[in-house]
Amino acid sequence: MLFNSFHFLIFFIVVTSLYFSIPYNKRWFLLLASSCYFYMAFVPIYILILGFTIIIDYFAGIYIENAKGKRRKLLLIFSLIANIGVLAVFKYYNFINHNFSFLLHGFGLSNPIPYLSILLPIGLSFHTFQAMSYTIEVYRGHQKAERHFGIYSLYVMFYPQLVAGPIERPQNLLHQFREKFDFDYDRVTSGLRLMAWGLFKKVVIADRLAIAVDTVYNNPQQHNSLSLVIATIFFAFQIFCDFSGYSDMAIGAARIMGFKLMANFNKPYQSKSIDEFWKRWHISLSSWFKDYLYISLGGNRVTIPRWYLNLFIVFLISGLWHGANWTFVIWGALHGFYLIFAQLTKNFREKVNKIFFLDRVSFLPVLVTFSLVAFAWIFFRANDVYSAIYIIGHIFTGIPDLFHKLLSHQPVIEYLGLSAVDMTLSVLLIVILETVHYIQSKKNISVLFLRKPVYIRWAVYCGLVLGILFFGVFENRQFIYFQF
Amino acid sequence: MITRFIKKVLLLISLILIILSVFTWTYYHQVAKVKFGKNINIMVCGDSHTESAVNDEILQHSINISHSSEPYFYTYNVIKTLINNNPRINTIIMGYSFHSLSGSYDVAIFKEEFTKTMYPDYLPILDARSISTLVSKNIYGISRSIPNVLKNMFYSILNKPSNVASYPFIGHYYKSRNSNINDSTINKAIMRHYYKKDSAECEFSAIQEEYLKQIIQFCNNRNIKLILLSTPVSKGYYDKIPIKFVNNYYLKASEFKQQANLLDLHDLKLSKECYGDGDHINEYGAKILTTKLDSLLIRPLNDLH
Repeated sequence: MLFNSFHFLIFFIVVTSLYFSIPYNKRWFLLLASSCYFYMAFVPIYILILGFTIIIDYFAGIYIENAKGKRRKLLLIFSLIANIGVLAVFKYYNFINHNFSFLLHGFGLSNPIPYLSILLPIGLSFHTFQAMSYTIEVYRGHQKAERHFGIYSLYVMFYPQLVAGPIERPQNLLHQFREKFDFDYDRVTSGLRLMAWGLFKKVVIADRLAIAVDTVYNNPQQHNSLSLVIATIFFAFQIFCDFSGYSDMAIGAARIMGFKLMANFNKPYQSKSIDEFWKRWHISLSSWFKDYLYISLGGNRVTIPRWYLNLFIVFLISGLWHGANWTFVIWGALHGFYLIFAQLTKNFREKVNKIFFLDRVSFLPVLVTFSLVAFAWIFFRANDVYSAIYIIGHIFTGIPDLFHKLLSHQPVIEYLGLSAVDMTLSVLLIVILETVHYIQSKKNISVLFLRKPVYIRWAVYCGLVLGILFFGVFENRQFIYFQF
Repeated sequence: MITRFIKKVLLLISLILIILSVFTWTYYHQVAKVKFGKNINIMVCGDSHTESAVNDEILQHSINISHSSEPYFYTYNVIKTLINNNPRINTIIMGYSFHSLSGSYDVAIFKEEFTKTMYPDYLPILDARSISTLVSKNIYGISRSIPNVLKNMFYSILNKPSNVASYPFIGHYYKSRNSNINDSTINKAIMRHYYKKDSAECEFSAIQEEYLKQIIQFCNNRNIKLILLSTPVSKGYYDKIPIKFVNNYYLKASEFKQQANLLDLHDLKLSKECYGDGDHINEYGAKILTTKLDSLLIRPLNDLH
């Protein structure tokens, strides 16, 4: 069930109305049942996989808490292997097998291991990571093991964040399922506003940009370097609006019922460095990697080469987390490389900036960071590594041809699957989005908005709803991050 | 507190509904004014067969509004909408071919792969009976297409189309010089027209026949000449049509003989280059067919055969 579907609208109204109409102590059951229904709307049988990890981690949590010494660690390892095992089978088995075949082929051998014909369970990496954070936190003694099987299941399955996060920590979420949330007018309206804004970002901006991005990236050979650049920039905003739109809707839906989920995005394209970008982009995942992998590897409290290696490992795994494809691995590796390179050249860059007064041009680091991020997105979006390399090659080598066309008065702007109106609208929407972010970085936009007269607020509400209806692209496009 | 919230939500919904009603009213007002040129008295409608076969630049005083994959269910509503605004239309040429009464058209009316694009184009002009047919059989599809219906209306209002073909329910002559007639395109068309996904032969479509009858009835009531045009199909395609559809084609044509004239040009001698694929003619074929049509139409209809 997609958040941008009519099916979800009905589901959401029914579940939320029932939620506020039944006694507090029955709400966990309603939420669990509705979460099961929500998940089963995709591929029903995959609920069994979720059930498997829930049972393993539920008992692992209790046993870890009761155990002492080495047994605790063994139980944690068992639980982690079970979770990662599920990921390995459903997400990485065919990828590993394919690469193994490729390797054997190099030696003139054929691979006897068969491929699995299975669909990737939706949101597998998200709920697996959330489940893993529970057992790790119990092991570390930061969280008491949950004895209520229903509430633990709900922690893993809570429908707003089940398939694409934010990846929550047990300390933040578990206790909330026992709290008594009354209907609070301000909280409910604030949640609805956030959901509407998220939906706007998804169906009006992301899905419109997706048309141009798909047109170019599915046939990069058919397009000139300008189109490749436009599509890459569009993809940067498409993926942001798609994913942050989902997160807003998830946070908004949970907020309406009283739950506080962690923020997942914080104006990432205003970052002045790659390091800052990762503090603003997919915050719940980057903090997960930081807390459970980076620090476990020693973080930065090791020798400098080892620190760089830690950074690189984390980003390599982060890339692999996104998908079983070399494009994602290269994307992760690129970000790892950016961070290491930034550390290596820090002093040198500071000197150069001072000499040429570049440190006074405030937008320059933002522009450079955005360019680096957008460049890496090429690997993330490309259908395969060859396409990505082709795109990168032609972005630069096509420039002389572009100038030649310009000088000979030939058209350089191509048809990217969008009408002229839609193309203008796409650019305008990106400008509006970044303007909203700019205002947000200066002032609290919610407070500003609530101070406005009622007729302005209602005009904005109507405009938002009508904007979604009239300018939305309703093709039931899946959220990009669902596949992870 | 909940009451206050519900009141405000209802107020917001009412406000939005009022705005949408204004848009809808403006749209209908605009559609009610859709008029063809003053010299137009022949309207060509149907699916991709007539869409690619009749060049309205050649056929005098005509306009081709055919739309790819359009079942009679929609054609009936398009005719009804447009004839009301264009009383000068005295002849309708409508596609009628071997696949026209095939159950494959039911898919275009009720199944999601078609409805998600077709409902937004046609829903605003459907009459109450057609809407109730859809509501009873595919309420989910209708509800899903509402945003796109509204969007189409909104864009139509903004564009104020001077060209009638700008309305999504009005098609136009499709000009193509491509020639891709081979076993693969023929087989694809045969499978699409006469077979289900499980490769079983399609049934006849009751709804197609019902709406064909309604179109005939409507034209008779309005004293409009209705010509059922069977456009050329390649021999390769014809030979693969299941025999029951060929028989039914002639059977129904003879049933409607008194009220509609069948202009059967399915076996018009055309070279291979005149076909776009197995069952569509291209620009070259359209030129030959339309020239023939133009010369035939100036003769009394009784002399057609």
